[in-house]
Amino acid sequence: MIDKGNINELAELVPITSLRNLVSDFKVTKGELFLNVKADSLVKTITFLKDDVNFQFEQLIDICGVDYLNREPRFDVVYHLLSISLNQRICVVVQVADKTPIPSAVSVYETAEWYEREVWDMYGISFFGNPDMCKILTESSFNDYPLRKDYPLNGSVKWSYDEKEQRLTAKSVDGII
Amino acid sequence: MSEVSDSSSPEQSREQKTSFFVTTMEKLADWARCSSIWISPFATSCCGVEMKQADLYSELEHLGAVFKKHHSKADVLVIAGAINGKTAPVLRSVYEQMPEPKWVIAMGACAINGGVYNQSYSVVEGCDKVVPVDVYVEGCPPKPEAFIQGIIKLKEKIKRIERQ
Ligand code: SF4
Repeated sequence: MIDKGNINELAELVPITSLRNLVSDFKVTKGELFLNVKADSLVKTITFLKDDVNFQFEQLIDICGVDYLNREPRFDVVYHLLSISLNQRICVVVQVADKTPIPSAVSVYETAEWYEREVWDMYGISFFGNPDMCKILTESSFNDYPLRKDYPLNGSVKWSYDEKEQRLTAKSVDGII
Repeated sequence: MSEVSDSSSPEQSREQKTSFFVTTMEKLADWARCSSIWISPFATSCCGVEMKQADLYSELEHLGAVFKKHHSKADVLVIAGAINGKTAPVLRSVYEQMPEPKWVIAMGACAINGGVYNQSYSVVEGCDKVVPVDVYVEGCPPKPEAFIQGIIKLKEKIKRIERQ
């Protein structure tokens, strides 16, 4: 067993456990351990991190998307895991290209369902294996991904009530990027 | 009848107390409406806290304003907070389900014109784009006193309604 709260000892375990076959790269920056993994070994990696006695990451705190506009592949999906038993945090990073689905983490952490829906809503990164892959925050007629860097800051539609048609209408507007 | 003083007969005292006034049915109805304002809150963000804070002040009940749990029993809809594209259809249908006559108070900068989120992609630039608004209460957030002032303004407006 490792010392509680020492991130470097956790990092030393990565090359000597079965993580070495799953992780393509790892680094410790600003007191956090980052693991870069390929999309197809993502589920195996987080399953290992959850079940292994040295890691015990029982909780999935959040899933975030990151848009690097001019990089190829364009997006990062970042999984923040927390180990309550060992008082440790870890970030698992998957690089993903536009319009490429990645495997869902729902089979490992059930809470991933809503986080993945949010990433889908905001960045348009889809997850296969998620039981309910639909929008969670924006309205269903909204067809853009607002947190992408090439999306206009003030949005692309404005809502108003149309007295003649007696319904709410979304009018397209020119965006400021 | 039981309070009649012994110096006068019951008939006399009733005659002295009787008085009358002439009005129209509309004016009487407006007077009744402005004296019993039943509020349905549509609180979407932080302004809702200030609105409920005003509820704790006894002034609100002196004015005849009471918070109701369901909008189908209310005359006044108070929109407290930002309205975004997803809540705009909900707000519209809540407004349409309210019985006539009905009034709307927009509370706070977000409800008036989007406030700090004015240029945002999701926030409607003012709830008057979605429902007709009668009284605007400004501030971010407005003080509970400002909300009470808004109720007083609404009462004045209800009394002054001109009918064709
Ligand atoms: S006006 Fe200010 S206090 Fe009110 S909902 Fe908007 S941000 Fe919150």
